[in-house]
Amino acid sequence: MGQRIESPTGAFEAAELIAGAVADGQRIEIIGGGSKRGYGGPAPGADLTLWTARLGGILHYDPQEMVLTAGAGEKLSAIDALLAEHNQMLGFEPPDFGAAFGGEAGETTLGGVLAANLSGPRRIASGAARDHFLGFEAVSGKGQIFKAGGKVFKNVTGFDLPKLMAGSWGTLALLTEVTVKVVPKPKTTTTVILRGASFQNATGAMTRAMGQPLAVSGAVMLPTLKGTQTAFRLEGFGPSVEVRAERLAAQLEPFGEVEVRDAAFSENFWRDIGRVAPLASEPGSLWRLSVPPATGLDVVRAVDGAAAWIADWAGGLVWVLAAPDATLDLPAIAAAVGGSALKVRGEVSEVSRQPAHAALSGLVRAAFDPHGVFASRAMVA
Amino acid sequence: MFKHPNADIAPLTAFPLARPMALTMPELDRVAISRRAEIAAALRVIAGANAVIEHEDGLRTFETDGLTAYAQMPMLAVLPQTTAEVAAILKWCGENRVKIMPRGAGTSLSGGALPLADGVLLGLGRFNRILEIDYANRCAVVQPGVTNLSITQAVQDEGFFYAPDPSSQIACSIGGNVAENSGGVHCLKYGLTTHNVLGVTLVTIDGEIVTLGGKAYDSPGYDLLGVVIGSEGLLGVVTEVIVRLTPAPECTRAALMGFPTVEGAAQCVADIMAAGIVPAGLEMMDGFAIRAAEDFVHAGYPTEAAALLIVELDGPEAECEHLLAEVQTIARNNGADTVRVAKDEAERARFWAGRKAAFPAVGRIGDYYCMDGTIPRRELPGVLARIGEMSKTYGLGVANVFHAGDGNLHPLVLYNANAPGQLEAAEAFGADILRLCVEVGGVLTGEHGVGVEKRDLMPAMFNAVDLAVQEDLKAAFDPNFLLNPGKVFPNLHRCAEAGRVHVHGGKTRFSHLPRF
Repeated sequence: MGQRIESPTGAFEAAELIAGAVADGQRIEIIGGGSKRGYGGPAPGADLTLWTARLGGILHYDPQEMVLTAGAGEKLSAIDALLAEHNQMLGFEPPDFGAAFGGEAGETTLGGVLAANLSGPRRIASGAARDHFLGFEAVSGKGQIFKAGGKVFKNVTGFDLPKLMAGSWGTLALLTEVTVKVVPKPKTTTTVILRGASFQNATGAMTRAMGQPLAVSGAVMLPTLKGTQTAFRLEGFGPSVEVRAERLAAQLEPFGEVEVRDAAFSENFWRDIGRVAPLASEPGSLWRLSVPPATGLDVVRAVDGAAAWIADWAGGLVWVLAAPDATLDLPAIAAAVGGSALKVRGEVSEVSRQPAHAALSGLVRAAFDPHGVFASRAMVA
Repeated sequence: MFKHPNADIAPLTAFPLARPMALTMPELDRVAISRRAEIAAALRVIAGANAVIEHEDGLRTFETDGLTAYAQMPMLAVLPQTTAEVAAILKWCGENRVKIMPRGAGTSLSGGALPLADGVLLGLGRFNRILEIDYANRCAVVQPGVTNLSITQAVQDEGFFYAPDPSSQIACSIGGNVAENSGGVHCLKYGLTTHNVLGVTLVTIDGEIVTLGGKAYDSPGYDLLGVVIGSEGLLGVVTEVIVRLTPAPECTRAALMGFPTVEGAAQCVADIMAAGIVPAGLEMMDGFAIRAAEDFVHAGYPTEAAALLIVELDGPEAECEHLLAEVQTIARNNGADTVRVAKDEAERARFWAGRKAAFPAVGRIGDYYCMDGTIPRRELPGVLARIGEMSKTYGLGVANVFHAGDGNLHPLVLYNANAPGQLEAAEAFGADILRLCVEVGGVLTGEHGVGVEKRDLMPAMFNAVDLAVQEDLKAAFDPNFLLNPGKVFPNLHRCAEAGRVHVHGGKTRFSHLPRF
């Protein structure tokens, strides 16, 4: 935490604080709910902490328009509650990482999940946070207020800066106001579970399911004492979910025991997967491996026995909890299949990138923050 | 080396203008023009003698894109075949401060591929191979000159398709789709290009080759892929694209609904969305467009209706049946007096035939100028009413077709190009429509891009700081502004007349392409 904490009430005040920090040669850390301060290594050292708590409020929401504009510091819990009243939700299923990364649950902000581009299990069906981020107002590292994007779904006017802000971890600009697309809440949710399949059969089942028009909106494989447990989420209108669940179950039956669970089970189960709950409560270094989905099998084979793991996103996102004395070279395992590994909890990890990408990223960062007023984060720059 | 006797005299342009350009472009680089022969020689060394086009006849192919109001021959054209050649060309041009205009199929409707008299046109037409189809990871690796539709054609037998479907999909290239972040009729459900491209190989103006994204769902570092998509050729040249493949739906059904009022149709759209239904396509036409289309293709449209909706639903058959019933109820509750569900594929095709023929149908009546703005859907009745008033003020007719689900309007302003002053009036009318889109909370362009067309309207949506931030990003990639200059940014600070999509006598540069 910076020596000084400020909580600006609007973009103008934030701009003054940032311009002041530039003038004084100070470095700023931006905090939303603080739920991910421990994500990707210890939070950066900074002289000034800008806390977005007073940049809240739901500024505009028209359910028929399926677009919501809020202050970046608005809590997800408030947004979720309002959307639920109108049978809508955020399509990217933002996980609450509070408990897993040294913060508290329920504090996550909309600006925070967008700045981190964090998405839950539904990412395989409806895209990542970046895909739902339509527009914003922000303060750059020059202390200037600017806007980009828009408040409608379909917009190609100017560069798509919301994409760049998503996943920039507060190193380019302070988001003050954000506009996101929202989606209808599914009427029905079912989870089809396959138990006892081998790694190969379980990952093969995920790959096959994703290659069919079943609209699978969650596909995760977990290790169990008897092989694997693989869960598939199907959502939508009742008659459609029923047909798809039957079809999927029939395909899975040759590989193990199949069980179909209801909406109440599904809600808890997938929320826990999103939060990495099965691993988060255990001590150790937590890694996130992003790989081509069909190669999840190779990753799981390489780490099983040496570490605990969860293979979400149909194999494309493998969470690995490594014991302190584990000798697994996870970056090498991910790189071997064309993916990447980030240590999200534990000592600061080096994130390797192609030199050309790193050079370009440095120039992009300097374009938004020429004075380096925003503190660096290991995973971006 | 052969040297032309006049090579040392710097002409104003290498070639005379095909027709006068009212558009103001960046100041002409006479030094580059005077070095034309030297530049051509350098490009021949890099890409081979056959890859460089110097002759007027060869260059004429590139003089315009889908925005036919403006034409300009490039100084030179080069058609490389490998990423290494592209890198060497960009490095040479970067070091020698020579402007470069990347070009795909040249179907842009906003002048994004309009050449410059003092620049090298970099054609990517030879990058026309599908390199890999990876069904297990649901993606394909393709070269940028591959056409949009050919990707779907390559994978449809395995039950997949490439979702974005701009109306020019039989001709437009995937590289151009990446540059423009192209949409299409089905992007309401399946997303735009940006949601369906997983990675690209980008060559920078320094000649560096950078891989952005990949087959994994996300990649470390800044999402540079996200800003490169839709950057209109201003940030680099894409030489490889990884596209997402989507399982093809099992069943597709369509319904046609006629309404006595625009308000009824607009509320029907809102109610469909509010019911949690995300149609594959949701299109609206106003009375003028309905009647023009019906006269042209006899699709069986209710010609007395004030507004028509076409709703397309896809998914398992049970889902389509269930939702079709709901949609029909919603339509009747909003006063629809015609509700028809396509019995078979032939009838569904007929429903679409009218919509897809709307542009040429209007083109039979006169010249038209196609606009492309997006508004919040709730503003639709008000915006239509205002467009109607403007139509009276300008004395020009207007037909309205919309991608109603995402609020993307395509008003077609009718004029007579041979009547003095009408072209200018149509352009002024069009600009007023786009300003209105911004005024009600929308944007200047939903899918056609800014290009040169809306460049000078950018200040209607962005203030000076907003634009400066975007130009700073441009400078991070291209500090000397050599890549596709004169597009997107109104940096010339002059009251240039913006170019438009003009269609004269039903003829466009791509008259064989459907536009909708």
